[in-house]
Amino acid sequence: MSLDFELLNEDRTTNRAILLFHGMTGSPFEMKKYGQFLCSQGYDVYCDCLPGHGDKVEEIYTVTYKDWLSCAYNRFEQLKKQYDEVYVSGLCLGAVLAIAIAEKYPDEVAGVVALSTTLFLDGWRLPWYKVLIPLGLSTLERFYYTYPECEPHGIKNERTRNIVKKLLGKSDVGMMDFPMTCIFELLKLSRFVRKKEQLKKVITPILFIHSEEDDLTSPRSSRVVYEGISSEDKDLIILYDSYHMVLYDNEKEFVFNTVVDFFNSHSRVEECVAC
Amino acid sequence: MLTSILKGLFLISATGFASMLSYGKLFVFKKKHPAFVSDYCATMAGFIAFYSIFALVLVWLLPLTSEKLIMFGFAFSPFMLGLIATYHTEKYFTFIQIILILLSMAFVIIK
Repeated sequence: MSLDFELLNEDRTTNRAILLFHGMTGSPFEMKKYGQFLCSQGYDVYCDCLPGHGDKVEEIYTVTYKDWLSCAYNRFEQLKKQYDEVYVSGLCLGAVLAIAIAEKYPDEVAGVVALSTTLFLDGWRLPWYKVLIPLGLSTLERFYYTYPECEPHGIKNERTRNIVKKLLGKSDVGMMDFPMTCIFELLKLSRFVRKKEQLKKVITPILFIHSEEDDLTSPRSSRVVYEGISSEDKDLIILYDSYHMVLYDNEKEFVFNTVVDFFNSHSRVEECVAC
Repeated sequence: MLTSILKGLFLISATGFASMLSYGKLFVFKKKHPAFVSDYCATMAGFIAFYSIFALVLVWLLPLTSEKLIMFGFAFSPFMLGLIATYHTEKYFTFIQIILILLSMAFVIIK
């Protein structure tokens, strides 16, 4: 059973779509509420399960960052043929893929929203031996080591965290740990995306939302991209009451509303009232 | 004196590295206790680091260029093998790594 989802706006008054990307070791499930909200605001929303995730979890040890890029590019190209405007948004690894699309298709992406962009693994909940991670990644250790999913699971709100904890481990929700091979590929993707010449290609309107207390990746990831891109229309919003999973945490309504305001303010497609 | 101490430290690091890699491959990495496995791997990463550092220091102390090159290869073997290996070939490269560690120990003892 595919975990991908498509949410088609019932009114069909505009020809606009949003392509979403979920986070590392997650699945489209974590983007569902976000997607439903965006759909209710007049967008068709698409989210595919990235290679090596969800129902394709057995591929997690062999998937490469080029597989993720290929999946992202192909999906974007498909949607661009069908819609007048295609926006891209993602969380964590998904945010990095969204930026990669903006680099490859600078004139074709209508706008990008990057949530908790993960270029560096420097969050406060990483273990004491995080300095050894680069060492481990380039040795055979990356095939043996998995970083276990642990408190606070990216969520500051305790009630929500407890609900998510019960769901973790189900293949259609998310994995219980981060295989090192996956982290290795994420960091290779990060190096690819944050090259100066790559970032300079981005001219698309872009919004970054990142939590100051992100437990997995500090706001440095978003700042590096924010400062490196050529977009004139860019904004970086720092949250102060959330952790990594900003779509589920204390400020989720603010995030949802800010994102939809961003998309609406950049839309050039006129609403077809007669449709 | 200094050379002997450094050789000793290298041999301890190599022994730790080889032992942990062998034992890990046979028993630990199959366990379903991610927290234990991650701590085990972190400790092994420490041995890898010391192995490489002491090997590089010994490069500096060895007299002949050929010996220096051999030791240099041993020092970087964990990284070279790690970058070449894939998920499907890692067990072969693990075996090669253990052999290389043992060869490096023999080399240091003889020299």
